[in-house]
Amino acid sequence: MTQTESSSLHEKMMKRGGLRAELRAANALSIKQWRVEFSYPLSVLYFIVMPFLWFLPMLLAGTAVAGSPTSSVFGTYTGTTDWVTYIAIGSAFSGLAMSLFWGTGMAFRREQNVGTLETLMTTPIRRDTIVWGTMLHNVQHGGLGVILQLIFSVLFFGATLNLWGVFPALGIVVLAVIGMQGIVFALTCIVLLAKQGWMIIEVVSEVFLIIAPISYPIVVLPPILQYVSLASPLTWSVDAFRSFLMYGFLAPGIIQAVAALLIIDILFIVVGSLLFKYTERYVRAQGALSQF
Amino acid sequence: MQTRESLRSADEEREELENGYLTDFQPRMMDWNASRIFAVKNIRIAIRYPTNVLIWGLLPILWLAPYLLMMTAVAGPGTSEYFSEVSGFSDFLQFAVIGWFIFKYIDASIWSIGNNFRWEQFSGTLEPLFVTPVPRISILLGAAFSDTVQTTISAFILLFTAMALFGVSYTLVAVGPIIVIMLLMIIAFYGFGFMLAGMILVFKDPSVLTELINNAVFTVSPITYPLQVLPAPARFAAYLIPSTIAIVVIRDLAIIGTYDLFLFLQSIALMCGILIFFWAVGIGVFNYGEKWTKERGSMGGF
Amino acid sequence: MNKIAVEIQDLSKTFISVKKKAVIIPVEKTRVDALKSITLDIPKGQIYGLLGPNGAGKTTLIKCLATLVLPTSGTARVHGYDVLKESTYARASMGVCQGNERSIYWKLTARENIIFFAKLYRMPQNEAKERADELLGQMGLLEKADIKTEELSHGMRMKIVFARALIHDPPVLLLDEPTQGLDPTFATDLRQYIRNSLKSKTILLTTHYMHEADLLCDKIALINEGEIKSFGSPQELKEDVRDYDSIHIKTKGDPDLGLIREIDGVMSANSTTRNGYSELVVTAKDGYDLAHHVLNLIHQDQSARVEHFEIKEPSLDDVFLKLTGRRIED
Repeated sequence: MTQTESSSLHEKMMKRGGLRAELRAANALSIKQWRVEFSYPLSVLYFIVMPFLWFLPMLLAGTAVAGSPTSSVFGTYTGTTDWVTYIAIGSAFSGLAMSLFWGTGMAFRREQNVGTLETLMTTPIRRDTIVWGTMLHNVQHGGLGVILQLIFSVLFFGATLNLWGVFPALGIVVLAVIGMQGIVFALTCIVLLAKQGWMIIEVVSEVFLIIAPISYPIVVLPPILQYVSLASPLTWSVDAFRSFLMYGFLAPGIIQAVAALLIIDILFIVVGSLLFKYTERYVRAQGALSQF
Repeated sequence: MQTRESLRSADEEREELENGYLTDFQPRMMDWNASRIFAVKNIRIAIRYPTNVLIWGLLPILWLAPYLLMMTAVAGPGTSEYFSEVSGFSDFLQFAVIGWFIFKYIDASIWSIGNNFRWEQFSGTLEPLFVTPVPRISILLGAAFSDTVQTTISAFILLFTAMALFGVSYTLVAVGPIIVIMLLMIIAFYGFGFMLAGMILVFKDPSVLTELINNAVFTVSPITYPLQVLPAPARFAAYLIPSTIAIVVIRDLAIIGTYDLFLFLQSIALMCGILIFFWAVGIGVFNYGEKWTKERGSMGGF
Repeated sequence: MNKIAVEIQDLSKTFISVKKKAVIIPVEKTRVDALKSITLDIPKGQIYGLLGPNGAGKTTLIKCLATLVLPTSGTARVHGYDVLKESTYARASMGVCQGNERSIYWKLTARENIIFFAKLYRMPQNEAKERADELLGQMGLLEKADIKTEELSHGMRMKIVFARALIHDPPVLLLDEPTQGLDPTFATDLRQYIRNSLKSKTILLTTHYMHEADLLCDKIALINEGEIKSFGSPQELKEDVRDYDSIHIKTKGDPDLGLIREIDGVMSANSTTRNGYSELVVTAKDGYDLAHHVLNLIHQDQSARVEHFEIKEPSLDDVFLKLTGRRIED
């Protein structure tokens, strides 16, 4: 290799930069994560049966009290008597949320455990790109889970979907991901700062899931939790996502949900990003990147 | 330099050692002393992290509460005609909370006992343990026992917290029979845990395997809903899990306070059968798993 | 154009570790000054070595430059870019190789690893592929390129780790213990590669192998307890301690140190016991002149028998010992 060639390689890289470079890096991180996951054969199996395993106990518990796939009590709470479809869509969506909270929230810990975190940090990508890249992977991973679970629910459990709602529902997924990414940045901070961070992640993500209308409307929650629930991006995302898939384009209350989601998204992503920025600096000042 | 005296004394020492230890040493199927020592070690470590027991008592509420909230949304608060008809109980909150108590033991047998060697491997102490002349199943048994102690504390924290949160209560009339059934269940779960530990040695990817088994067991167990809502084959599978009979009997004893004596004795007999079955299968699978890893030399990297 | 590739100005790093009771209440604070006002300039195309024992601050310095650790005070520039204010450019201008085989993904193949990291260095797929082939070729790993890293030997993994640092052909390389734990053949390969193929690069290398520093480095900074104790070419450093020779004598039994110290011309005499032998080190202005005196004395002393004897010229280790009172490989 001659000297001129070699210096041009470096110069070329220096010129590239910008959003495109970050996107490329995020995509590379996502592909890498798929490769790593597929080297564990059991995780592939898990991925296929997971939708069943999450949804089945819910369905059984519902059946134990309702005795049929419709419930008039449920209708008075939610406007639909079809509780099976309601919780099928809700729990499918919660798969995406879990994938983002756990998969992305723990990304730094995972890279640290395998020993590659510092290497990633010495590359010229932005540090939050590591989080975004992992998010990209988990949106693909979790998204595939949502699709699988919805298909299973329709084929085997009698859920009914309105296909006109699929495209607007995808739009909601985009908005949902932005808000949840705010939460994920905060979770990443916890992972960076606390040794037993996974425990806090478990509690935080479970709380977000409990106060969200995933398999029940929030009116069955205690009143205080109902107010807290309204501040969570997950609450509005699940509702809007489900409304589109159940009622199509002209879902009721959808404008309010989208507006609320937009406001909450901005708030969450700004606060989350700032938290991450300062925590990451703090951890480097502590010199604790390799041993946190 | 070693002198003649020092050589002789070394010889004597070895002789003494042989007399005292090596000549007596017989390979044993089960080394109870080792189990005890190992259990004490684990409990000693656990005492240093007291919050763990508390957290593991409270976390399951976060997993299980959504079921009750959903049931409330579908059927209205507390009860439903259909539920009483299928389960024989009126209050599904009262029905479920006692189920969660038992669920803690199911969870522990799968996560803790099955994964014990995995944790040892993380802390780097697995290989030193495996070169000691102690049957590995004894180490596992010790680990299982210490897990039972911790699980029991967590399970009671879970029970009392959930009772307070959902406003349910139970009768203590039949506490004796409850303890008998619980003990049989816990011991049967040891066998179940040995089986999982063997499988984890072979499959190496414990989190996914454990998660799969845990979910499957949870789904077919009558924890939040009665067995009657399961399709027939699943109901049959449920009876293969050591906890199923226990949940059914304990629930009756704790809510109603009485149980038909003949049915009770029949349950005890069934539990004993399951216990023997799981110990046999568990030890068999574990020994096979151990042999399997040794043949492939994948002990260090598993 | 600036001739200095790496400028380190008054760089300090203090770690404060707080021992906590009941999760939050701090009970004890300990301060560790890992780096104390380090100043060092590395001209373009030179190989500089940081030599010192474990815990001397070598790795902290490398991490500060690599933007992994924020310095407490001071500045550093890599290829003209400030590592604090222009950290992205600084990172883009350097290749960092931490001598840790875990710093690549074991579940990916060698090629997949290189391509993955190449994309983080902004290369499109096709360019990344070409670069991977080129680098793996140089490392002699093309045949193993599609085997999962976990199935390769330690040495091969370290070559991938090394190749990874070269992906973007950086003008500056930070090598932290690159040959640590490598078997001698691989280590020699790697040293040869550094000497022959990376002539145009500016390299900062940490090591605690003295012969490696001796062989590779244009200049060496001896570092201990966060400070540069001495600086110069390997030759210059050794000249510094050439004012005495050291006589190394291995004996069975313990020689009488008191008698040896009394010999005229002896500067110091110390002995350590290793594997049942005493290892005696005597320093003197002229070791060749004095050696027979010392040997005679031990010979007369019935309690010790000489097994081995040599007169050593100073090594970098001796330089270090003289400066700090401790050995590098301690």
